[in-house]
Amino acid sequence: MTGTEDRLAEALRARTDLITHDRLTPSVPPVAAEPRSAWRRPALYALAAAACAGAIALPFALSGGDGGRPSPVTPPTTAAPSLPSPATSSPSADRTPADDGFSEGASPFADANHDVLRLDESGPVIRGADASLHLFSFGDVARLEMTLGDGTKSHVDLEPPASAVAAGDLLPTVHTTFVADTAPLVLVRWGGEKGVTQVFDHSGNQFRELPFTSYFGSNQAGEAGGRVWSVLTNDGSFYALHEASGKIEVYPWRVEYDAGRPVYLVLGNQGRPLGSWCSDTPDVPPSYVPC
Amino acid sequence: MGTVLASDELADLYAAQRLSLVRLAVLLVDDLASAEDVVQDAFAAFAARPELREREAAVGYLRAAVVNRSRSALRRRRTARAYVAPHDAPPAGPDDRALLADEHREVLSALDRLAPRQREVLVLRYWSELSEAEIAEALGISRGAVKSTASRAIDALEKILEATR
Repeated sequence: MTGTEDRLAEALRARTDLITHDRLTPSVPPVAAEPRSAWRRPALYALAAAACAGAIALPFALSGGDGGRPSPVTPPTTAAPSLPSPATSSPSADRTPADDGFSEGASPFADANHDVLRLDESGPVIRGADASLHLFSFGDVARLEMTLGDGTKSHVDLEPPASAVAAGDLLPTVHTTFVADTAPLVLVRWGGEKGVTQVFDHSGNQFRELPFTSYFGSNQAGEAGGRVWSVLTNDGSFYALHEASGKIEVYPWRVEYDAGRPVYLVLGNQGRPLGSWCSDTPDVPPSYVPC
Repeated sequence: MGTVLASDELADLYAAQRLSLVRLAVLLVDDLASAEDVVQDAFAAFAARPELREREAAVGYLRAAVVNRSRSALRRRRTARAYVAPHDAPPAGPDDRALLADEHREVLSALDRLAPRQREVLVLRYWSELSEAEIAEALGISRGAVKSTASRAIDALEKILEATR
């Protein structure tokens, strides 16, 4: 070993030598669960089949057609309010839902005059051509395997959240991929559209677990019943999702900050704002309501 | 599938491995309370999944779980810190590192400045004394990635230590 390696090994030993049995908090070992009955196995076979189909479809779904910038959609025939300019609009205490013209559940409307912020142009996205996801059974465990474009492989053995176990929803779906800051992440959803979503990074590490919430767990809007999924985590981070249809992409339209805290944000979809939310409390994590 | 640990064997495993795993977690999250939480969570998840409780793979699974959960704990801590006003920050706990020699404190401070993955690789290699293959399994990365990460991490550590002289 080199001198640096020796120094490191000694420092690590010195640090851990400070942790002795008598310093640990008294605790009892967790109680072992009994083995599950075999009924799950057929379910996992079904899951594996669904995952294989998903893995085949993923490259097509994630490529999103030509992969170019989305075109603004045609305005609906009904009259719709206009979006305030991002350059001039700012959060204010006297803003009302009518000021912005949209709120949760409002029909999206076209706004072709604004540039669209596309996260996937500035950060990496797991594209169909660059990555693959496979979900299969491993013994009695659901395993998600990810392969990135550079050949990096990782896997994670999925642990259903307690709520999914309680509800008997033990069939996850690898729903889509999305971008967070500079890292591509993968969503695993348990229990349908209102279920818990686990977020993994490309190394298979669980990033966080997102419970369904009325405002941010998912947003439903879109053309012809198309579903839009978006995720806004409790710390205010914003994520763009690429839905399997390949036609709907959700991204932040605008996020405004006050002392580093996001206070006003708008979801957009292909040139349309979908809704806006405000945070007017200093809670940690912040909470939001439609505004 | 190998033989599955019985309930009493799980208790024995807990008694035998808890301290070692807490020490590993301390090197990754730095404070004892968080480290104990990480290890308890890892054991709880392990105990709840009989299909994971293979006797031969138990320690490896728990080690990987501790590394992953330590990383999650650090992320949560960073997120929380990003939104806590300075005057609301919780008071710092007693600093174990104050008990260490200057030389060791300097090395550990340098280690803190590495990327999480680099820190994990170095801890698993130079404290847990795992092989490249074992580190790769624990971190879910390739052996090549372990080797290159370790090499870059040692280089970075050397530079940081030189710069602090």
